[in-house]
Amino acid sequence: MHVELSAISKTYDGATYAVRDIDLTIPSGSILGLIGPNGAGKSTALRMVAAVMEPTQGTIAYDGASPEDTASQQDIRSRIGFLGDGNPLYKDMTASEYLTFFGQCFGLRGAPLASKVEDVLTTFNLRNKADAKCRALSKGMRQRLLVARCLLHDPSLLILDEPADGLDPRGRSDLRTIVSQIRDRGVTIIISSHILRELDDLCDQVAILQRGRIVVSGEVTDIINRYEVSRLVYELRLLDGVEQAKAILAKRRVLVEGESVADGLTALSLQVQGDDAAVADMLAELCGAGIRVVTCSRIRSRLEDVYNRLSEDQVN
Amino acid sequence: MSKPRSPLHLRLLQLRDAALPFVTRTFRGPRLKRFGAISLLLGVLSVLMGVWLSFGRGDFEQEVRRGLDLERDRWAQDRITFTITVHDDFFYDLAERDVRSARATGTRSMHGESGHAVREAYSTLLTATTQTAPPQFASDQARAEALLAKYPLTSESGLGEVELARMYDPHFDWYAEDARTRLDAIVEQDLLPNVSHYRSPLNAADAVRVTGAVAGGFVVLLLLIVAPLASGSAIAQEVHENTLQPILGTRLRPVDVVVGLTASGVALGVLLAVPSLVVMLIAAAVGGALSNLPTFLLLLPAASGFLVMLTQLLGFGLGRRWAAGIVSTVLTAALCVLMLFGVGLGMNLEGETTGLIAMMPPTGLVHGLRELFLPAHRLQVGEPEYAVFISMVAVLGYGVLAFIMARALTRRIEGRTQVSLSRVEAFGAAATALMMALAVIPEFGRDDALPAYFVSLGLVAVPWQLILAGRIPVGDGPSSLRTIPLRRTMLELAGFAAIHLGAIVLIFGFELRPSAMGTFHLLWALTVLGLVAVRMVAVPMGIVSSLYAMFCLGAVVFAMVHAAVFTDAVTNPDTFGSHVPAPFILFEASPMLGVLQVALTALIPAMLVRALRKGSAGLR
Repeated sequence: MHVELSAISKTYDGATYAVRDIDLTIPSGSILGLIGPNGAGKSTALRMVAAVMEPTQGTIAYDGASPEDTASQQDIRSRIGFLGDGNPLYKDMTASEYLTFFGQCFGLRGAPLASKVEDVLTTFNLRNKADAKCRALSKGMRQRLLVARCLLHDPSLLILDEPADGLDPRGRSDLRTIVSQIRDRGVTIIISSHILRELDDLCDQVAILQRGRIVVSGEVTDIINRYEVSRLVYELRLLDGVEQAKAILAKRRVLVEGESVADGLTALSLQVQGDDAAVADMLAELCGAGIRVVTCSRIRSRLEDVYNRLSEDQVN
Repeated sequence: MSKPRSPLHLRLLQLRDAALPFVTRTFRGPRLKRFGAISLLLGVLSVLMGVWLSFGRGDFEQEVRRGLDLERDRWAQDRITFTITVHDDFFYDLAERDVRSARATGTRSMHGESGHAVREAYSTLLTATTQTAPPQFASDQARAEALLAKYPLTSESGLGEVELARMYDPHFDWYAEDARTRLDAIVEQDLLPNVSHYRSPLNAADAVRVTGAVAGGFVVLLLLIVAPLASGSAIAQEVHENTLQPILGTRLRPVDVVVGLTASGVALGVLLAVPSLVVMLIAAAVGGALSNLPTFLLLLPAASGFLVMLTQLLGFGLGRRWAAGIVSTVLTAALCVLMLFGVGLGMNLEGETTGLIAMMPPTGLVHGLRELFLPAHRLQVGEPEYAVFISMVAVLGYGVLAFIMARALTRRIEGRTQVSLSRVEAFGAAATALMMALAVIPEFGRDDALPAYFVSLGLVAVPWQLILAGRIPVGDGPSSLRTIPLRRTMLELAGFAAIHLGAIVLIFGFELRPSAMGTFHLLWALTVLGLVAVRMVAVPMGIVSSLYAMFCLGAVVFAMVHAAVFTDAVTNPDTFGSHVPAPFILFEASPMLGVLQVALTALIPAMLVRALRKGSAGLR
C-alpha cells in the first residue's frame, strides 16, 4: 500500500499540537522507521495513519484515496494491521482464541479464519502454544502473538508502534527477522522506536520526529550522505601493541575517542572516516604491523549518529 | 448473481458482524457447554422449586405460600377446625398420644400443644354459653352447655388460663360463621382437638402457577442482574487493560463495539434464561392469566436493556480507575440492592406505589409475574389498568434512555474530545426522565400541583445532572486545556426546567403560584445543581472537592425545601400563620446561622465557578 501524508496535524485541545504539518510519502512495500524521543508524537502520528484517530488538519491517502466517511475508514482499517503501544492481551484467552477473536473483528469467518489462525501461529512459531493462556506466555511470545494478530487479515500496511519495547536481545532479533519476512511479502511497514539500533539496517526510509514535527525524512543512505555522517564508530580490542596501534591509527586519521581495559585487553573506541573498506584497510595494517587484534566491532549505527547530530532530544 | 440486499438486511448483517466476535468470545472453549448445562440446571431447578414450594410441608414453604397469599393463616384455620396441625413426626406422635390418653381416661386435663388447644376451646365454650344466643342458635348453645357439664372446667384443666383468655376475648359472635364452625367442631370432637400432619392446601393447578412464578423470577434475575453485570464488567476490563484500542484498529466501529459488548452480556443472560423462560411460558399457557403476559414480555427486554446500558456506562467510567474485579463487585452490589428493593416493592404494589414501576426496573416485572401467576389481592378496581399504563410508560422510558446511553457510550469509546450527548439527545433524555418522574408521583400528588412539581423535580435532579455532565466535552487531553461551555450548559438546564414547568401546567393548569423568595431559592438550587454537574465532569475531582460537591448537593436539597415551603405559603395562609418568616429561614433559629446561610448562598456558586475557571482553559 502506498501511503501519503499531507500536512497532517493533531491537537487535542485546539491550542497545543501533538503532531504538526507532517508530510510523508511511504512507497508500497517499503519499511519506514519513525524515530523520536518519548513524547515526540510518534504514537499519535501512527494512530492517525492507522485510521483509528482523525487528524485535526491534513489528509492521509492510501493508494491515492482518502477515507472521507466512516465506511471508507472501516474499509481502510480492514487493510491495515496496527500494533499500538502497550501490551494489551486478554490474559484469560488462549493464543488461538485471541487470534480467532481478532480474526472475527476483521470480518473473517469459518474455515478461512481457522486456516489463517493456523497459518500465523506457524509463521510466528507459536504453534505449540496455541492452547496456552496468554498470561502463561513469555514476553517475547506475547509480542509475537500481538504482531501475528496484526497479520491475520493479510494487511497491505503494517504499523508497529514500539514493537520491541521490553523484548530481550533474542526477542529483538526474532522481531527483525519477522519484519523482514513480512516485507518480503510486499507489505508496507511503518515501525516506530526510540531505540535506533532496532531500525538500523532494517528500514528503507526513516523519519525523525521532534516535538511533533518531522525534522528529517527520506531514504537512509540519502540522509547519511546529506548530513555527512560518513563515519563509523568501532571498538578495537587488543592483546598488545597499544601505543604502536595508536600511532598507526593517527596516521590513518582515525580518531581515538576513548580507551579502557577489561579482562586484560585494551579496548579502543575509534571513529573511522570512510566506509567499510577503510576499516578493512586499517585492520590489515594493524595486523601487518604485528599487533594482535582480538575483536573489532561496530558500536554505533549510522542512524544514531544522524540522530545525535540533529536531535536536541527534547520532548514536548 | 446474489440478490440485492435491503437497507434493513444490511443493517442486520452489520449487527451480526458486530456481535459475533464478542458473543463467540463469551462462549469460547468449554464455556458454551458449561453455560448450557447451568442453564438447563436452572430450568430444572425452577420446576423443582415450584413443586417444592407448592407441596412442601415445612414451616418455610408454608410461610412462602402465606407470603404469596396462596394459603390462609395456619393459626386461623386450626382454630376454626379445632385442629392441631404439626409439621414434625415427633410432635404428631406426642399430640396423638395425649389425645388418645385423654379419650381413654375421660379427662380433659392435658399438657403441651393439645392442652393449650383444649383450654382455648374451654374459653370458646364459656363465652358461647354465658351470653344469650339468638333463637336460631339456641340448640348449638345447649350442646355447648352439655359439653361443659360433661367435662367441667377445673383448676387442673387450666381454669386460670381460660379465665385470662376470656378477659381478652369475652364475646362470642353468634353471627360469625367461623365462630359457629369452631364451636360446632369443639362439640363434635368431644372437646378433643384433631391432630393432623400439615399438608399443603395447593393443588396441581396451583403448583403450575407457582412453578411459573419461580421460573419467571429466575428469568428476571438472569436478565436484570447477570446480563448487565456481564456487559458492565466486560467493558470495565477492556478499559482498564487498554484492550479497546486494538479492537478499534480493526474494521469494527465504536458503535459496533457497543453492540458487541451489549450482545455478549445479553446473550449470556438469554442463554441462561431460556429453559426457565420456556417453563414460565408453558406455565403461563396452562394456568396463568395470559392477558398479563404481553406487558411482562415488553417490559422485560426494555428493563434489561436499560440496565445493560447503564452498567456499561458505569463500567466504562469506573474501569478507568479500578480493576474489572472491583468494578464487578460494585456493580453486583448495586444491582442486588436494586433487585431487593424492586422485588420488595413489586410484591407489595398498591395504588399509590404503582408509579414506581417507572423508576425501579425489577418492580414492574415482579408485579407482572404476580399478576400473571398469582392473582393480585391488593390492587383495587381500575388499578391493574393503571399498572399496565405505567408499565408502558416504563417500556418507552427505559427504551429511549437505553438508546441515548448507547449513543453516549459510543462517543466515549471513540475517545475524541467531544460531548457525550448531542443537544437533541440531552433534551430527549431530560424529557424522558421527567415523564418517568411524573409517572412515579403517587396518587396524592395528582390533585395538587405543588407537591407534584417539587417531588418530580427532586426525582429528576440526579438524572438531569448526569445528562448535563454528558454535555461537557471530555476526552483524552488534559482538562486544563479545555474551555468549558458553562453558559450553554446552564441555558440547557433552564430549558429542562422550562419543560418541567410546562408539563406541570399541562397536567394541573395554572395552579402554581410563585412567591418571590420561593422562586429565588428554586433558581439558586437549580443553578448550583447545574454547576455541581459541570464541576464533577469538567475538572478532576479529589477527595476534598468530592466532599464539597456533596455539601453543595445537600445545600441544593435544603434550598428546594425552602422554595417549596415559601411557594406553599402563597396558596396556603396556614403555613406560617400570622408570622412572616425571614427570607433566609435560618434567621428564625439564630442570627448567626442566618448570616451563615446568606454567606453560603453567595459563596457556593461563586466557589464552584472559581474552581471551574481555575481548572480549565476558561469558561464560555
